[in-house]
Amino acid sequence: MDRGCVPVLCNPIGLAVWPSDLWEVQHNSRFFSQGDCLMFLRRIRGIFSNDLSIDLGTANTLIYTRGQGIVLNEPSVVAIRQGPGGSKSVAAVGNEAKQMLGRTPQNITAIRPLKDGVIADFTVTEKMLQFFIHKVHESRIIRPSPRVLICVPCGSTQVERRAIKESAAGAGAREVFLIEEPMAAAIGAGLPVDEARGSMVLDVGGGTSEVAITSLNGIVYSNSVRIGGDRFDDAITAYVRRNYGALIGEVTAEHIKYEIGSAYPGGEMREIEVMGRNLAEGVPRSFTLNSNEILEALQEPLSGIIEAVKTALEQIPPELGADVAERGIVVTGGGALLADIDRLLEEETGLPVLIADDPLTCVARGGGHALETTNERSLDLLAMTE
Amino acid sequence: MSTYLIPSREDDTTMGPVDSPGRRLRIARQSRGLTQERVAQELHLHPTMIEALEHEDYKSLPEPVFVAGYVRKYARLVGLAPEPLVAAYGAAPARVRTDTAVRAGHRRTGVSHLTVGLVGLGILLLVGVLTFLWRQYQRPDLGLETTAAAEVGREAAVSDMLDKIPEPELSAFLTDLEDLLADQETGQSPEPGSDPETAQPQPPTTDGTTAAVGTQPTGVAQDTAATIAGKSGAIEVSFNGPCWADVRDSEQKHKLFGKMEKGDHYVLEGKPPHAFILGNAAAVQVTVRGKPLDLSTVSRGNVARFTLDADGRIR
Repeated sequence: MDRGCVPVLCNPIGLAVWPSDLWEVQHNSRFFSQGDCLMFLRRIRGIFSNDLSIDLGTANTLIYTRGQGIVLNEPSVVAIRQGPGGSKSVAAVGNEAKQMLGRTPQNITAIRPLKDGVIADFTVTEKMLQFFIHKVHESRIIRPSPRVLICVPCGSTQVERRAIKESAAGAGAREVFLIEEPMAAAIGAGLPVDEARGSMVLDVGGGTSEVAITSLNGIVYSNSVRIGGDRFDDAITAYVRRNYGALIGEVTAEHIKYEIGSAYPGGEMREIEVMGRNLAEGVPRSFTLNSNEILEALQEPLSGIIEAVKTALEQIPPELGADVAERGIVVTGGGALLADIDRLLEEETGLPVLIADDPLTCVARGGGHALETTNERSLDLLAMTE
Repeated sequence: MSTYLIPSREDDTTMGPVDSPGRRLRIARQSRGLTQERVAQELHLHPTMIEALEHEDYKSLPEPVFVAGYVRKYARLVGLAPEPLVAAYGAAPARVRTDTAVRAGHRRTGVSHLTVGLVGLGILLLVGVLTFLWRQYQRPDLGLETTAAAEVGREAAVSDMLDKIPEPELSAFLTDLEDLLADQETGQSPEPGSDPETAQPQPPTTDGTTAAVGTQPTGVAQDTAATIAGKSGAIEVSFNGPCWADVRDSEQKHKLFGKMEKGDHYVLEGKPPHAFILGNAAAVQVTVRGKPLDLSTVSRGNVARFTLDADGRIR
């Protein structure tokens, strides 16, 4: 029997058959396997689901829905409650769980399942994705089974990509595509990725910073360094410990970064009063930090990012380098919100550096646009799915 | 350099509206005594880009993301509020390309919603048709007569019988009945084992014949009905309480199906043997040719399952 006819038989209501489906079916040894039936059911459920683009970030998870824009922006935090018999259940996800971070009793653990842009805890990530997918479909009666595009760091390994893909499939996705974060960021920022012109994007995320040069719907050069918002927080915590002999938590460090964090000197001096545990006395004490101190604290991680950008400029072909020099580097991601990061990069590279509009959502929006235009652009953008 | 500091009148005419963003930038730059070259150097841009920005020459400017970035930096440099200027540049034709892309996405979404709507409608119709068919299937063709219907049928049968009895026989019967009544009036007790209905005292009537005619059909009807029941092997089912029943004939047609209530009485027809399932056997009395059946032998946990053959025997 010609196995080529299987998709037609499995597809009585005329849904689109993707090339990847054909591949899967042709490699299936049985005619109507359990997998086919499950896939068919998922397709039925998929009619009632929206296609999603997920920016599964270390710090925040964003979901973009076709036609609706960003529908979810919550911290990638899950609180796990341990029952009396050792059974674990999800206590909270997202904003609610982030409030618990560092403030949990013994039976609850608030964890961040992603580290450095990749999955650190597979099961918890799956639960978190499941929660978020359901949240954006909460008015639906039928369990959602959407097509999902997930952004992955360009430096992630095949094993890490497989883990993300399977995690999304386990969370109920009917089809999972992966796209490299800088490509999604470039599309989301509005760079001309389809032109024969080099466009450089720097995405400073929670766990990683990605730098890439795109041209003709492809990535010419990309590099990922495991420096991001988390490293900034760690640097602030270490600085406070070293200079004030006080211990501050993850949330406080992040708050300091938002309030008075700066990447380049010369701006307005700002101050913040924070509470930390004095290591010598063992009791909480308050002290005042200013923006110059934070600038000093952030020097080490910032230099790592600058180094990555400089290396990229060294590595790319001269034609593309000229394009970048003419137009500039676009910065996206949460790190772009750090004050004067553009000025720092400008001074270091001598090129114009621009912050994208709404840099936090660029990756998710770019993924969404890629998903919307997948048919038109074929699978060029998603060529790295397998 | 002086040409940049002191703009000519020609420059003013080519600048467009007075409050255009390019003109505002240029005026702010000039008021600070900066040249285009100086600004370009500060912003790490080519001077032609600064000129294009001031002249709002969108053909020479790159994509909106870059323009927004340049304008922000330029505005900050010359001490203007960046966001209104960025918005003013954003409203210009340079954004057409992005808008088209977004519109294409929306069009696809519209088609997708239409598909979802049609598929949803189809599913609803399918569910409706299936429900209708299921109900049709679940409604059994009982072929039963209720108690009232049975009574009407019986009366019709009695009147037919009366018509069939020849006139001499009828008058002889009436004479016998008159004799019997006369005996009762004289104080003679009725014979033991005689029909209680006929033994009941009749109300005194002025016209004996009319009375006799009035009483006659009952006896005949009883006999006739008994004969009919005896011949056809009629099965009667009476319910003294709520009970779930499933009775089918040999052709597997439902004769009784569903929950029966107290006081229901049915006479079964159809081709024997009948298969019975009675949910509350204690509340049911099954009578075959007037003889009640003992259901306790076929009950298990108050549920009776049995088959009644043509002779009225339980199998």
